[in-house]
Amino acid sequence: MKKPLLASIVMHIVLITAILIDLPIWTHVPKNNPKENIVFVDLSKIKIAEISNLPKTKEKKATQTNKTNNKKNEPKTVKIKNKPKTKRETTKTKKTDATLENNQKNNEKKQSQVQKQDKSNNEIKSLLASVEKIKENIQKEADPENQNDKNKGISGGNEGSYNQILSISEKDLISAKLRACWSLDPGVKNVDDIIVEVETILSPEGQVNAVQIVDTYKYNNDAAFRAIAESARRAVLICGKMNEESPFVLLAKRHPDKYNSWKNMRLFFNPLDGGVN
Amino acid sequence: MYKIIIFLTVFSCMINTANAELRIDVTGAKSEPMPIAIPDFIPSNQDVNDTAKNITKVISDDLKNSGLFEILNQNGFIQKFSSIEQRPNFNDWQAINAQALIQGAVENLKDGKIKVSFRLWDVFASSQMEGKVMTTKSDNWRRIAHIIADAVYKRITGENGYFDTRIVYIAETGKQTKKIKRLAVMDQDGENIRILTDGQDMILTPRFSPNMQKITYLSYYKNNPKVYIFDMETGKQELIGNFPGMTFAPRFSPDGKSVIMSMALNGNSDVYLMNLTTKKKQRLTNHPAIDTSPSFSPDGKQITFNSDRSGTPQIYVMNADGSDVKRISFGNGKYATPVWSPRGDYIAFTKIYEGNFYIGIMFPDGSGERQLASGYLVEAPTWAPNGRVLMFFRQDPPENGKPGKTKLYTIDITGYNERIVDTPTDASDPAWSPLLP
Repeated sequence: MKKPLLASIVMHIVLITAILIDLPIWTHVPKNNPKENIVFVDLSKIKIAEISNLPKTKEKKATQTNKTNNKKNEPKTVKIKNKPKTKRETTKTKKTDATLENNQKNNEKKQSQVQKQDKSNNEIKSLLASVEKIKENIQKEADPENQNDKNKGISGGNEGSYNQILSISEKDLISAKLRACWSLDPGVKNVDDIIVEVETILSPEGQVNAVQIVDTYKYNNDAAFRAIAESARRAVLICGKMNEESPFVLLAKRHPDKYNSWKNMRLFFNPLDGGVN
Repeated sequence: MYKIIIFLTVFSCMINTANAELRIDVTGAKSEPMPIAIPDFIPSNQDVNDTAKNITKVISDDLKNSGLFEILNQNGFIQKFSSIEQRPNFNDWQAINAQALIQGAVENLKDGKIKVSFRLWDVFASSQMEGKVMTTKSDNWRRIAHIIADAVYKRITGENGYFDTRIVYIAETGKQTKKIKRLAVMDQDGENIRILTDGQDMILTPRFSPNMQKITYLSYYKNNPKVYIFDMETGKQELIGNFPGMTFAPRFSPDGKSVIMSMALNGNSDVYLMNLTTKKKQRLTNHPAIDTSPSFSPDGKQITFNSDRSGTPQIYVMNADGSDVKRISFGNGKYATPVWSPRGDYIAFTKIYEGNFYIGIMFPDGSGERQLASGYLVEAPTWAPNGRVLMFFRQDPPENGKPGKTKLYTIDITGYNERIVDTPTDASDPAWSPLLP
């Protein structure tokens, strides 16, 4: 009685393991191309999916993705991807007399790769769809009260991606307030070439707990950079002392539930048009 | 297997971005003067009470005249210092919107000396930015004040100051038909004026040597216009070289070892370089047109000059050996008196267009031309040693048949903050010294 039960358990485990790890023999992966699938997975598609996490543009992006997929499935695209390999193979075939045979083999391989890509594309699509579902769930959980703010971003009804902490208009507001606090000497040589990165740590009430200039090497070695970096730090501190008008207090009042998202803020101060040039 | 890896990667990226820092770009800033609080320096006793007040005033005036600082009214100060060791109560200074604070003290020492100390504070960062102690003779208090103003300027703007400098210029007196032009020197703020020559011979276009020991200029000594050198220590003037023609428009090379100038002979002017040690002359231009007003780039590798070889006076740039001459000014009007900025990024010039005079700047490749000042007659731009400020002279239009007054002015390269430099007489042809050693 025990033996059949044990055998059944072992068989089940083997079966589940095989399904989970997706044994290569079931998918007929070519022996000579073990890394082909990794090369094929185009991360830009995943990026497109993240950016296009919007109902209206999703379809467009999806069609764009399909278009690019189709393009990539064309022999030319495959050729480009496999160019180094083809080159190597061509040089080899030059040395042998079996050129035609090898070319035929290569073509067969390419065709099988194209078919494989089609399969993988479908798998990726389903994978991305599941990721999007998870994203939507997380967004609902994290932002239950601000569903109406979704459309405040880019004109034309952009909601922004799920992980966008603030809408673009809110970011602009904070940027404008910081700009109003930031004063610098526009006559400094090469002022337009300097960008200062500043890290801030904020309290839940929007008070500035710490401000740090990131590029300490430049700060210690370049007097012009130091002057502009200090003016940027001063801007954060001055804005932080503005009570109700402080951009950070504003943030704390609008998004107290997202404190973990904005407590560490990275600010990029760029004089750009501040120069005299 | 790869699907699982991708899934986990995408998922972890998603989680990471969810916890990422908020990134904000702040592009563009306002350019307002920085509010700075300068309480009177604390005197150690009554003997240095006036000195302490005077030092405070000179520092305040220097910083205010730069246009980059707003000096806050002392009446609004909440905290009163009794010692330079007393730490500022930053909330008190933040309350009056001071962004920087200068705290100082003057101590009376033996042998007529004073000890001046100061601290520069960043009020909002609650930290000291600069601190120095200096000892000097008590009658040298003005220079100490300029040095402190330079230190504050440099620490806050990131660029060298220009307050501890001098101006050599032509002091003009007498009637228009018989003007007396004397060589004069003063501090950049118009104080400590000294007249160097007696006015018997007309003097024009004075220029400091880099170490400020000498001044070169054009003098009509015995009605023979030639370039001379005046020694500041001995008070003697010496003719430069034995040129067959009239020499004019002199200027020292950056190393101070040579003088570059124009020589006119048989109706033609060309640029020459004269080594002051070896007395060797080198002709740098050879053109039938008038080549004049040469000025070295700060690295000494290039020279800008004025020439009418294209038909109208324009600005040109060439290598220090006279090769590779390129025209850089192509705007409307006539260009003159090009001067290379000490920081190398601009060439200042005088421009005449439709009857008006302008002081302008352009990049050494001729691009980015901007006019900073204009008037009936504006001429002779000279750079402050930090390349931020220009000085020039402006003559007002004549009134009731009388010629207008001629005064010195400064202007920031941003085109803002034009200020008059007070002189007791009419003044022209200014030349700014380097920072005093």
